[in-house]
Amino acid sequence: MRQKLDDNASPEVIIVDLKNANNIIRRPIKADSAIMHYNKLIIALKAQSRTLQIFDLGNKAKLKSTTMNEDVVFWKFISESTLGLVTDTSVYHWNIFDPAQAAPTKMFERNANLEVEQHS
Amino acid sequence: MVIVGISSVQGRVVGAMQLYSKGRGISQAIEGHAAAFASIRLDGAPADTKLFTFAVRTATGAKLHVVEVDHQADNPVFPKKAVDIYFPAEAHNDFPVAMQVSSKYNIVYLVTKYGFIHLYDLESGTCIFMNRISAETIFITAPDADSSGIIGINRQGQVLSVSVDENTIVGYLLSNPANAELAYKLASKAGLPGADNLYEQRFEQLFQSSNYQEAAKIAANSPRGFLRTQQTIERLKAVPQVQGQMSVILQYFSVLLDKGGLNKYESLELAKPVIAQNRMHLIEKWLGENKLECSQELGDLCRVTDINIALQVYLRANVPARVVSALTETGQFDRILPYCKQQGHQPDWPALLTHMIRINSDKGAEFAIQLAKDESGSLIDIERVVDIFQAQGLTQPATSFLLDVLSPNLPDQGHLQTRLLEMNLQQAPQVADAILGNDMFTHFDKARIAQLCEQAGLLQRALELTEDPAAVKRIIVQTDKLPEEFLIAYFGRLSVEQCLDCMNEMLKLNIRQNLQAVIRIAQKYSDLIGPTNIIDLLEKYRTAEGLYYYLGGIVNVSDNKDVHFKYIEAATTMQQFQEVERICRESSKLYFLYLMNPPLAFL
Repeated sequence: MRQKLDDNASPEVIIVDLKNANNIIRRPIKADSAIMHYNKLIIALKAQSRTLQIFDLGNKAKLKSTTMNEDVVFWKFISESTLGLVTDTSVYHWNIFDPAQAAPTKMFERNANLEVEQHS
Repeated sequence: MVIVGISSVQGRVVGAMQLYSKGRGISQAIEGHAAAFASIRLDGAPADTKLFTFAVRTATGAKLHVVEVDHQADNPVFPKKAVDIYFPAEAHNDFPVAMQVSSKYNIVYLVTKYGFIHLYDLESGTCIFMNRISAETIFITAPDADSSGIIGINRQGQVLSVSVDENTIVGYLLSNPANAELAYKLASKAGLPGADNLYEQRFEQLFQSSNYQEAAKIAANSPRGFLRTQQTIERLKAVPQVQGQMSVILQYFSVLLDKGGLNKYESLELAKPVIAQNRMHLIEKWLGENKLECSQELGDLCRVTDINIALQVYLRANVPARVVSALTETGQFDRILPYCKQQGHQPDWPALLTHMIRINSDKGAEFAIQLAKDESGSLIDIERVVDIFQAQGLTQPATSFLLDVLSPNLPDQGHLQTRLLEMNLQQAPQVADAILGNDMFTHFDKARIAQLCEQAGLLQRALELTEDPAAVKRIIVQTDKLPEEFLIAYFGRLSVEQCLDCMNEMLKLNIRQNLQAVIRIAQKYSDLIGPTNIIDLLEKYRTAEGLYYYLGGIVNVSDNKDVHFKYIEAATTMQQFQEVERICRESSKLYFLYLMNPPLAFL
């Protein structure tokens, strides 16, 4: 289990292994948002609300990258393999391992009553 | 899937959710602040039930809802649950922000904006616990797989973790009689201590009141299976069977089979009647589904009826000795060595081999070869192998084994070469003859083998091998059993003295039988042995016939005066006067030449 802690002072992502506090990984990033995979050393990065990149830190490899047509207002890992993305109008799923799925797939449109301020 | 959004409406935070079914492609708008999906296995259900739970605080109150989604026809219906969420009076602006469900405990963790945590039982919606864990807003949460709890981060940057204390939760729940059933189920579900007494009591109670079927269920579902003992089995077995009904013990096992796998004793007890009825397909099915705990005992039970199933069991139970024995019994010798190596198991090879050759001597021999020629060096004493084969009178497999193993013809295996030949000379002389004929071995005990060859009537081989003059003399006289060509060639290997000695012996023992052979030998090696020596020998036995034929063979190419003279003499005795006349004519010419070129000295 890992969590990200964003350091605003210098653009750097810090990954803390909560089960082993000595295991701290620091990486400089240009992205403005980052989330970690549940149990793998995989990080999803977001810049300018639209550019998404997935990195496997263990294998030092870029898994995926895409640019959305709309701003991503909320995102989270919804399963071991899938990242859920919410824009102002729609909900997308993105399988981070499936090479066939280059860009996120739209699942459904958001209802109008969900045009709100905060998401969870 | 669901998304949740919040907005401020008239000074109150309102939650809006959109629940979307991927299968049906439709959305549903629900008022709610936080939500989560979960699955649960209801009592007696064949499959998991999918649940959707969400928390909402409206202007009038706060509720936790648990509803079923994607209902499966085979499953019992999950009744909707809606319970009040308590908010303290001073927290009138508080609302739920996050939910996580622990699948281990079926517990819902709910976190509120003001840092309260609530724990609910998923199935009943019962509130188990609540407390405030943070003065700051917790803005993100995640499930924690290791503790089956929840972790979150608050605005101060503190990481908070909440999980259930496994050792105390059941006792805590039991302290409130209203939660007894909940405690009871949780103990079974997560295998927690604290309710064992309760299970035991209920089991006893039901058993005493002869409600065996329910008692069996209690034992089957007891936390960590603590009631699933041999004793329980014995008690349930002792229950008298009702006509036309499945026996209580089988009902017990069928509950256990539905629940998962059986432990060692249960597997044994279940297998006994099933095997007795020869319903091995059931055992096979359960093994396929991994429902039985494999043990040596279970394998032994199966073995009586079906050795192949027993083999499967032994393999899974990891009982190498039994695996090897079952592989042996089923004749799968070729699998034994790889298996033993993989397991690092070292069986008593000689004993195993003894067993094998009783089943299949040829394959046993092949196996012995594998053992002897193993890349890590021979795994068995070769001498032992031969002993084993010989003890069963199996010369032929022993021979093929030795032929293979001894093929490199190594000096230090001389004694084994001897043994191979010895064995065959006694049992199958023609095989020994063929082996010797192949010239593949050179390190055996030649004197010993020569002796055995002689005894076995392989005179030619005996002669080839023996160094013993007495033996040579003994054999050589049996010209009726030796091919003449061989005999003649053989004399080429002997010294002049030996030749004369042997020829003497041949004539002495049986002149009638051996004369012809002696003549041929004499003719062939005449120059080597010396005509004078031969003439002396033949004269010793007064055989004019011998002299006549011997000398007849060489007289035409000889200029030896004695040869001519003796030939004339012998021909006369044989009354071959034409020859006498011819040779006298030829001889006088010779003699004339001799006079013309007199030797410088008389020899």
